[in-house]
Formats: sequence, C-alpha cells, structure tokens
Amino acid sequence: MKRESAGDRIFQIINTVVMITICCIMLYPIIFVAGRSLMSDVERAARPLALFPEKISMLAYSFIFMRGSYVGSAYFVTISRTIAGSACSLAVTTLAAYVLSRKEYPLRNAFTVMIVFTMWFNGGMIPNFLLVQSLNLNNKFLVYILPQLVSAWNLLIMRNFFSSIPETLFESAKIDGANDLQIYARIVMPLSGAAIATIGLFYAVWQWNAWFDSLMYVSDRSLWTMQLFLREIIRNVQSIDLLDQSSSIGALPPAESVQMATIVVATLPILCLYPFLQKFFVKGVMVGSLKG
Amino acid sequence: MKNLLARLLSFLVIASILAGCSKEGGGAASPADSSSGTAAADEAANGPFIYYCRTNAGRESAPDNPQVLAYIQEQTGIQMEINAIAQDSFKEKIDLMLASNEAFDGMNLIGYADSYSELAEKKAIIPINELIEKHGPAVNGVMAPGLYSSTDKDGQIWALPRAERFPEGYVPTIREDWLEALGLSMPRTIEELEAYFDAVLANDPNGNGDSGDEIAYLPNMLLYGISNFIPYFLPVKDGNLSSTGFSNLNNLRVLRYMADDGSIRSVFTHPDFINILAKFREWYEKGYMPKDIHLLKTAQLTDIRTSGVAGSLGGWFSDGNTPIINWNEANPDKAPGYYAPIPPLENAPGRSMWPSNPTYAPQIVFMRTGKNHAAMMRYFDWICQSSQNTATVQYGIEGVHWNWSDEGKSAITLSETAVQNYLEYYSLANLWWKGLMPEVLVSSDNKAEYMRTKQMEEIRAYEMNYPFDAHIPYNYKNTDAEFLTADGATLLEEAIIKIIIGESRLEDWPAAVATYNSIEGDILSQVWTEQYNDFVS
Repeated sequence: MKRESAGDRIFQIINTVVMITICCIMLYPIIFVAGRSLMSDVERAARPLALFPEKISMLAYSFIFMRGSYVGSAYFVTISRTIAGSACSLAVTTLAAYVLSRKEYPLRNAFTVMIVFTMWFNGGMIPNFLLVQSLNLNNKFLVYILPQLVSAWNLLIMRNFFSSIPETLFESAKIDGANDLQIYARIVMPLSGAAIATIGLFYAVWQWNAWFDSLMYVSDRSLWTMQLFLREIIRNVQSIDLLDQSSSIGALPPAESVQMATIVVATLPILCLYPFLQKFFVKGVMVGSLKG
Repeated sequence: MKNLLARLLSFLVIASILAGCSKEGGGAASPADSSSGTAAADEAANGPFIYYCRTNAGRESAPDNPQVLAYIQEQTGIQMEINAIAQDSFKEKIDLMLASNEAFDGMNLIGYADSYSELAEKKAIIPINELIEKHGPAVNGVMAPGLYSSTDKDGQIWALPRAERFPEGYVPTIREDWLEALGLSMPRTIEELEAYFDAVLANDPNGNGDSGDEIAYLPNMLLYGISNFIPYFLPVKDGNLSSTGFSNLNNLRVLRYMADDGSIRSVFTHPDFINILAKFREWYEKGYMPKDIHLLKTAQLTDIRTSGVAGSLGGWFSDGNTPIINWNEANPDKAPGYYAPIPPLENAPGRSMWPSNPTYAPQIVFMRTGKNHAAMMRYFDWICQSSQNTATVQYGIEGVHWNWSDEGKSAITLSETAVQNYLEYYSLANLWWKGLMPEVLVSSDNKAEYMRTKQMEEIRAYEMNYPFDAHIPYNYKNTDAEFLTADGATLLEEAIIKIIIGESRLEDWPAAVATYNSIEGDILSQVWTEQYNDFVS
C-alpha cells in the first residue's frame, strides 16, 4: 500500500475543511429556519442572530395547525395530487413518448412540432380559465391533474430517452410476436427506470409545490392545497397590522416565526423523501441526452 | 399517404381552433342576457348566493365557521357560499372571473383596487335601489346615514356602505410609563413632544443599563409616520383635506386637499408640505428615528417594538399593542409598558388634529352576473333587523360564543375562546352602525382588546380630521388620467425619503413637485376638480 505523501495529507486536510465549510453554509439556513420557528417573539427580537432557542415556543406551529381542520385536508389534497398527478402524468407521458419515439410512426414529427409549439406559445390565463370552466372542472379535484397532465418538456426528454434504446430490442420483440403495448410494457419500461424516476420526481415536486391552480380554480377551502393554505397564512400574518385594525381582537403571533414554521411544514415531507430518490436523480442526469 | 394524413391532421387542428374560438362563453351567462338585474329573477333563483371577499387575518379558517354558518342558515333560511381569496390575489381572481363572466352575486370592495364607479362603468355591478326597496327595509333604515357614500349623482345606489368601528386611528402613541419615569407630562405641543424625545435619548427609560438603545420615535414605516402629521402642518381652508395612513405612494391618490382657488390637488403639492419634510429631516438628524427607518420591513419593526426600546410610535394607534404586551409578559419585574395616544398637538400651523378614515365607505357590491341578489339582500336585511342577529354574524352563536350581559340586550360578553373559534366571517361587511352592534364588555384578561379599548376611549375625546371628499366616486376611466402610471408618485416617494435622510437638499423639493405635476399631478388635479364639482353641483 502506497504511503500518503505530505502533499496528499495537506490536500486531504484542505479538502475536508472546504467540504465542512460548504456543509455549514448549506446547513446554516436550514438550522436558522428551524431554530427561529421555535423561538418566542421576545427572544427573537432580543437575539436577532441566534440559531437555537433558549426556550422552545410552539406558538407559530400552533397558529398554523389550530386553523380549523383545513391543514389536515390540505395535506391530504396535496399528497393525493402529488401521487395521483405524478402517476397519471407519468403514464400519459411515457405512452406518448413511446409513440413519438417510434420511427415507423408517420406523424411523429408533426405531433412533435405541435407539442414543442406549446412550449413557446400558450393561450394565457383567461383562455385557460375559460377552458377549465367549460370542462366543469372548477372546484373539482381533477383540476389538479387534467390541465397539467403532460409537460411538453418532460415528454421530449422521455421521447429522446426512448429513442436511444437500441432498435434491435424492438425488432427481436416483434419477431417474438409482441405488439406495441407489450413492447412498451415489457421492454421499454423496464429499461427506463432511471428516466421514469427522474421525470416522476420532476412531476412530483411540481405537484407538491403547485398553488396557483388551487387559487384560481378552487374556492372550496377543503380542496385547497397545503402550499396555498400556508401561503395564505404567511400573507395574513404579514399584513395584519395594516388590515382592519379596529376590529381585530386578540394577540397575534409574530410574522417571522410563522414564516419560518411554514417553511418547515411545507418542506419537511419532501425533504424526508429526497434522500431515497437521490440515487435515481444521479442516474437520471444523462436522461434524454444524445449519445455519440 | 403520409402527406395526406399530415394535411388531414392540420385541417382538423385548424377546424378545432376555429370551433373553439366561435363557441360562446362555456355556458356562462353574458352580461347582456343575464336577467340578474331584476328582483323577480332573483326570487325565482334557487341555491346559495355566492359571495367573494379577501382573506382577513385568518377569520376565514376559524374552526367554528361551519357551525356558525349552519346556525345562520337555519335562522335565516338563506343559503350562502362565501369564498375568501388570498388578499394579494384578490383583484387578479375577481378580474379573471369578471372577464370570463363567472356567475357570482356579490363581493366586498375592500382589497379590490377599483372603486364602485369603475365597476359600474364596466357594467360589472348593478344599482341596488330596487333591491333595497323590495328586500331591504331594515337595511334602508339602519344604513341610511351612510348610503350617500355609495350613491352617484343620479341617485343610483351602487353598494352597501360599511360603518367603520373606529375610523379615527391614525394617532401616534407614547410610552406613558416612560413619561412618568422621566418626570414629564403628556405632550401638548410639538416642542413638548421634542422635549420628550430628547429626554428618551439622554436617559435610560427602559432601565436596562444601556442609555443608547432607546428609539425616540418609531413610525410604522417612514411614510406611514408622516401621514400622522399632515393635518397638523397643512393649513387648508375649511378643513377640506383628505389624509389617511399610507405606507407607500401607490395610494397617493387618496390624499387630496382643496386649494384656495377651488381645485383639488394632491397633499404633496401643498406649499406647506415642505414643513413636514423639514421637521422629519430635523428629527432624523437629531437621531429620534433609526438611521435605517426607510428600509425597515414590517417584521423588523415588530421586532424592534417587541424589544421594548421605542418611546413613541407613529402610524395606527394599536400597532404597538401586541409587541408591548409580549414585552410586558417577558419582563414582569418592570413597570408594564403602555402606548397612550397623544392628544392633537396645539398651536398647529394647520389643524390641531390627527387624520382619520372616512366613517362610511362603499363596501358590498352586487354583480351583474349574479343569480341570487334577492337572497343576498335579504341576508343583509336579516342582519340589520336586530342586535341579536348582528351579534350572531359578528361573534357567533348565543350561548356558545357569547351571552347577553344585561336585560336590555345592549351589551354582551364573549366566552373565553370565542374569538379564536369564530370572528366576523359571516358578517360580510363592517356593521358598526349606531345602535346595531351591542357593546362588548372586555375582560382585563384579554390584554390586547382591553388595551385597545382603553386607547379608543382616550382617542374619542380628540378632534379628528375626516376626509372631505371620500364620498366622491372619482373615476379615471375615459379621462386623461386613465392610463397614468405611478411614475410621478415614485419620484415623490424617492424625493421624500432622500430629503429626510439627508441625501437631498430641502430646496430640491419644489423641483420634485414640479416634475410630479408635469407627469401626472396636473392631470389628476383637473380630473378630481371636474368630478368633484360635477358631483357636488
């Protein structure tokens, strides 16, 4: 075994110090947010740079979770739309990508151009609202899934990935008597695990963070998503002083603590899930890229 | 074959686009064929009336809302669907619904930038004279003193007005316990106020051993603090001055005065406005205000107030209550802090008054696309029929959330958790009409409300400056002001801040005003003056 030289050791030390510094820089905002979400407003005001509370205060969390039963339903809606929306989007995206990746399909280029066209131009907010209204999707759970079912960008990435699968696999499957659906299910899908995980994660993160469709199309608060609900809490707390001051009664929690607690509540589930999906992300870095 | 298929597909796409474009409204009623303007159609309509408002401090998510709604619907026999939109998206959503002819019956104008006159101009709302006559006898009786605020020059009523509980709130406050500690009495003149500021900076009134951490004057944002002193500094004939709080100059258009020649102008163009700037510049130079006062955000201001270092606050009278209550609880060994409202300062070059909101303002409008206007009006009528009903929509269910405290049913007490569980959501409007809202007896345990009530009692003794033209429905559509941007206001805001913090000279102010006038001030003045005279005549 080769002995480490002095230079190697110095490199290792500097490398370790630099990496620890980067870790601290990454962790600082997370600890700052979590710590200050647990501080009382008096302590926060007295110790503006403190990371950890001297005494834990759950006032901000109780403010968020005591808002009736909506937090529970909002979480349920968000989780449901993330699972159902991602699954439906993945199913349709992979099916469409498979069709568009097949060279023998005569309209693949025409459809691809039409799909790409939607990346450059879209109808805008009012036509979208009218479309959703005419489809009678307002105040329905389906409004979270159908209007954004397929992302043109994700579809193109998936199409490129499928195109890179060797043609000989398709030919041998056909010789064995497989039809297109069987090839899709038994050949293409098993070979595309990394791509599906990556695109699925794109869809899931988008679904998890989405709030604007909830704001525009859903007035029934029991169907609101968690992100919209938390956003509303932050907006309310920020503007309390300027609103209807004469009739607001009772002490209110500090805005900053509520903001911090909201960030924790909104990001914690996806943060917990991320390490398990990270390996797919690493594998999926090259998804859709062209190989020489 | 391939080309044929491509052409066929292209044809189908074009045909679909054309068909989509020619299709009418997706089933939504267009304003033209809506019969919602008639009470007869309302009577025939079924289902709940649909109403939109902006969110307000979490009232829309209170846990007992469903229980109170069920109780009210049982009492009234009227079904309703109330939708609260996040306030920063309220206008966007409403405009989207108006553009797409979405059917809804009413909305609250608070939080919506356009006035009723602009909505009427767009034919988005309907006049409600007939509805009031047929379905709102109690509304007519109770709201009569305020209906003028939403009535146009032709006598058409376009909105139900709100009666604000306490419009007189733009009063600066002072730490009463510090006054006592410093051996001073409540300031009556601006010189006495400055003497207090000097004493705060020279001593250690919060007793923490650091005489350098106190702040003499902490306005809730610099511009908001200035607004308190507008009536004091501006001599305006007959008190024809509109001045309310403002945190930025986007709402500059609500700050007006009538000049000696009868024209209506922005208060910032008043020749004596420079005296306000001179005074604030002097206060800033003397260190009465924090050096970064023009940069502080709401949360930072709250933190400073909570740390118990501010000797006087500018803005709304109750802004400092929650922070000082929290500070008091964290410092039980010290004298409890209390921000007492400062009386109007005497010997004013303008008026010895603080500014005020208008008492009445248009609030509830009825949309042209609505199908159930009669039910909505009947609901407001039910509220106006008795104090019992008003207390129900305001505070919840009798016996659960509140109880009568006297035989005469003029005062109520709230149960311990009432306010946390339900507050105001189904009142839909500010209903502080004389004789309608029962008095709420506040326990000293409810520190915030107890403090607020004490402050309000003190302020009630003060003389206030009420806006002189709040009832004029200024409408910029089809005028020279319609497409004005806020460039002039931005310029003025920048000039004000720079002068106060010493980055510009006081002598630069007239030039800033002249530029503002050339950009938009003269145009706005012309529109205001014409419409004011037209309405008044």
